[in-house]
Amino acid sequence: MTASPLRRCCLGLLCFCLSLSLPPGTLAQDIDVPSVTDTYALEDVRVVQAPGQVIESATVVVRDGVIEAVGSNVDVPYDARRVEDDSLVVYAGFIDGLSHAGVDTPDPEDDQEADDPSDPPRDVAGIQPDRSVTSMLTPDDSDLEDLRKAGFTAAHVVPEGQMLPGAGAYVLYGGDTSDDMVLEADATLFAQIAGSDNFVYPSTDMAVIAQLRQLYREAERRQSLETDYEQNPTGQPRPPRDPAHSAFFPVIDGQTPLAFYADSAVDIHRVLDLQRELGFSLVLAGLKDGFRTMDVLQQSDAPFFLTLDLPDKPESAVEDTTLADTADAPATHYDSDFRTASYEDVSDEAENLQLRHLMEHQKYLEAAATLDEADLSFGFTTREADGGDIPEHLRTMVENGLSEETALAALTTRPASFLDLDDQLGTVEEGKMANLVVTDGPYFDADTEVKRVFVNGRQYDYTGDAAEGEITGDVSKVLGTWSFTLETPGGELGGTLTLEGDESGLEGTITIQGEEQDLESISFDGSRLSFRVPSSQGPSFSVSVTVKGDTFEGTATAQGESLNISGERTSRPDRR
Amino acid sequence: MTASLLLRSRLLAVALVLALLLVPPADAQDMLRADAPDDWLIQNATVLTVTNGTIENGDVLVRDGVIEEVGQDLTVPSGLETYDAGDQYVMPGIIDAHQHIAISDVNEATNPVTAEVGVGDVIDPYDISMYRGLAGGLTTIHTMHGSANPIGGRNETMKLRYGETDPDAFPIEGAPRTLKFALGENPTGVYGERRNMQPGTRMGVEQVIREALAEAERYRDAKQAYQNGERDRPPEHSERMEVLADVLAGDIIVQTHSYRADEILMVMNVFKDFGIDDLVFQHVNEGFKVAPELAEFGAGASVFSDWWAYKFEVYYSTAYNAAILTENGVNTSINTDIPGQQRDLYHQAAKTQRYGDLSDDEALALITINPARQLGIEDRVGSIEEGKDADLAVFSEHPLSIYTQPLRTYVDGVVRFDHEDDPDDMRLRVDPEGTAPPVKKPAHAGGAHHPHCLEGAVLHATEEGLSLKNGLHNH
Repeated sequence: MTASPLRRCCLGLLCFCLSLSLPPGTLAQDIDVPSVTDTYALEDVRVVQAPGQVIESATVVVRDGVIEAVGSNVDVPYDARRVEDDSLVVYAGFIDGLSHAGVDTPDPEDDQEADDPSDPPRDVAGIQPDRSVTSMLTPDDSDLEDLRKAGFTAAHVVPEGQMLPGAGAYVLYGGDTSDDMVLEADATLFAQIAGSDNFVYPSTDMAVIAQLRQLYREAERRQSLETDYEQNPTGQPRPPRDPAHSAFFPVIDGQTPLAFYADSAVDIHRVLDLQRELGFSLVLAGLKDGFRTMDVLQQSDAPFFLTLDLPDKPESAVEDTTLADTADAPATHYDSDFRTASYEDVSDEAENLQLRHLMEHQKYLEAAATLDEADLSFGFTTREADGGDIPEHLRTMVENGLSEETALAALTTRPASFLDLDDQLGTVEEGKMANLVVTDGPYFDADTEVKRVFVNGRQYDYTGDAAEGEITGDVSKVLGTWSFTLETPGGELGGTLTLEGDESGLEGTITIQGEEQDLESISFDGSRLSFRVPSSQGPSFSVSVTVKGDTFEGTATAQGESLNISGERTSRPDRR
Repeated sequence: MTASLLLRSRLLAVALVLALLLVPPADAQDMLRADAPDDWLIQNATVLTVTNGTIENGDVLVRDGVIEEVGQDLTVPSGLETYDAGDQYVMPGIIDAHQHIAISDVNEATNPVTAEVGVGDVIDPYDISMYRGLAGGLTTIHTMHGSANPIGGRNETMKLRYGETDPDAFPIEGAPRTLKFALGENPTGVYGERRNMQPGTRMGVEQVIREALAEAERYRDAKQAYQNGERDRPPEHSERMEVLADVLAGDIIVQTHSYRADEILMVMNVFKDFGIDDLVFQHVNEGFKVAPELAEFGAGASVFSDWWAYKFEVYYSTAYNAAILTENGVNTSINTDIPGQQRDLYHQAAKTQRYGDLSDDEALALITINPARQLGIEDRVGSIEEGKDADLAVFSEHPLSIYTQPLRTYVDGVVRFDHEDDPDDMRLRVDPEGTAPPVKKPAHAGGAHHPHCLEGAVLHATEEGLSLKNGLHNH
């Protein structure tokens, strides 16, 4: 337990070297590296405790997964790893209202062909409410990393599937094992208006709706038989039991909501109609077309989670028109009364149609603001969005009328309260779980980057992630192949580096012990060369060197540990 | 004082003009018809009531979407919208007793008996087909489950309230439920030929129907026994048997897809055995062979005007079918079935005058009061009578004339189609990522060789955009 600093250091560096030379992912599993400390202090930072509640120049202390202290006059514990940077902003970790991230749903068995399409096995029919997502959690899923980088730290995750894929759970977007992830198992039962993929019953939406009614009402009957039997078993036949119906008992009791995903206006109506008819408690996620269904949404008391997906902008395909001038305000140029009188009007019709598509697109960008103006309280779901697009999509929603405070509430306090986890999550307050997002500026600003994310006190450090590489110097100074030497505690390690490209951007690869990897974010300003070596599972590392003639010197950094690196150019590109 | 007043009024005038210039033009269309009036006086029309003859120079007074008065020279209540239909014809809104529009699903073709499913659960308010129907004077549709299964799903009787976006706004309140049955080659093809399941023959179709109805009897009896205290527990719940038990109880009208006389007789025999009375046959191409039997049973018949020979069981057919059935006292309607053909039922009805010499009222009844009776909604729609819904179709000529043109269509007193206000794009929504593909302008330079540059061209306007095929380079 009293490993000397030197030994600890060596271990760390050895790991680092190994991470270069071994396939990604080997490191974390094979060698157990003790954390230096589980205590962190973020000093002199701007803390957004909750939407609209800000403390300037405060300190946040995190210990053993809990926010130990927040405030202006907070003592930094002796054992804290200190991050002091007055440009940083700390938010509560975001909460994802519904997704499949970190969920590895087992593939259906290939030979699961139904002999009789009218009565298929339940899993072929998509009726699997007795499955639980907690048995499918995979903490090393790359989707989790993407969502964490966008600021998400906790979520309601559900299995993939068809009409009834299984029970959902509230989880953390971090941890080593699936057990680390779980906050609350079997929190919801996931459902969708989605027919079977295999052309077996139920194959259509109308049959799915009928089948949901059937399961629900028969479950009601069975539950009442069960209750009766428990009270008075003597002389009664044992009630029929199967897992598909039993899974509905907590739903019927009102303990577990049915969580539906519905994006289209018709699906939203169908789900809400079904809820009114059967009377279950509902969680509704998706709502892409929710701005078309506000009347019925206003009558519902379900928690809503709006999709963070936005449609792509329609591409202009009309040539030689004034469309470019009109695209910014299509509504003022669109002619709703347009009539095509002859073939000569066809291109005008196409242009008018293009404006209509642009107007329609605009409605989706404004959807979040539209729902908010109608006093519909929503969180967000990432299910249909790519993690990397989310900050931009949130910005777009804000640019189109959603207030930043509402957006932040929809990411933090609202979902915490919807999931009934507001005693643990949603704000940066003493005693809350240490789920934090640390950015280098206001989250909704265009050039802001997430620098660190804490999930249950564990730090995910993205400070090494440079943005897009930037080339401002004469690239001929670095193009070609370089051999380099990395000084590690275990001795020197050699490798090669190749760079190609021009002023518009550089590409390159690094090779260490036969393992080749592409470089990211390559920047060169005439003397300083930097790049990042990504890793899908192990730690990524960044390299920053100063180039002098045909040599360079600098450091390679990973997880706060640095090594010296030096190199020499061995060949230049052919001059043609 | 005066000068400054004058100045101010000039300023005011300038401001007013500016304001007028700056206000964006109001939308020519309110596609949702959210604030459209449902009070009207339609004046000076030839009113074809269908059930009470024709009124020349007639007026129809509509209040709150209901026909309040029909007659001549009605006084105009103050503040009421009027429509001068001089030289025009007003008939009851047309009813299509067999369509598949405005729904997301048609066939649950995985099970021979699917009485538990219903197209009413998957109504699609955004289907432009409804507007296209309105443009042909159509106001009510019976949108049906498909014909894959001997016992298919529930159909939906609904108004074309195009512009409403809540699916619950379309079904006619209180209309009887109807259920699709299907005989012959469709079910035997889907199950017998493709899946090696029952039914593979017409005999098998009968057996599937008999077994399902017998099971429904047992289900009904078990439920009854439980309610009477003769049974400790209710039977296992079955959405499917609930519906079929309601068929047995006479609460649901069965609508049976059929072609051949033998299978038509078969179903009537089965229904006699189970004591079911409410029955309408769809297509019923060989109905003319068994018209007296249909009349005796009291079964309705909803037929095509003149469409057949699209598969083997539909060869023995005649355009006189509707007239023969009518003359034999069978309540008969003409339907279109095929999405896209819902707009010219008035032409289809007119064909019965060429093939069968039906009177104007008889021909119009085929697309109005008769289908209303087949759907059990004749107290609401199907004729121009006081107290009925103001579903009205205004035509430029007599609707049975080949020269006629639909001008206006009222549903519950609301104008939902107006020929004068009918722009190209009446869709309620479009694809937000959609792109109109480039349309090349016609090359006038080469016009000498291609004077008709759109000859043979097909212009496709879909949700994805607009495209022109075979146009400019079609030599």
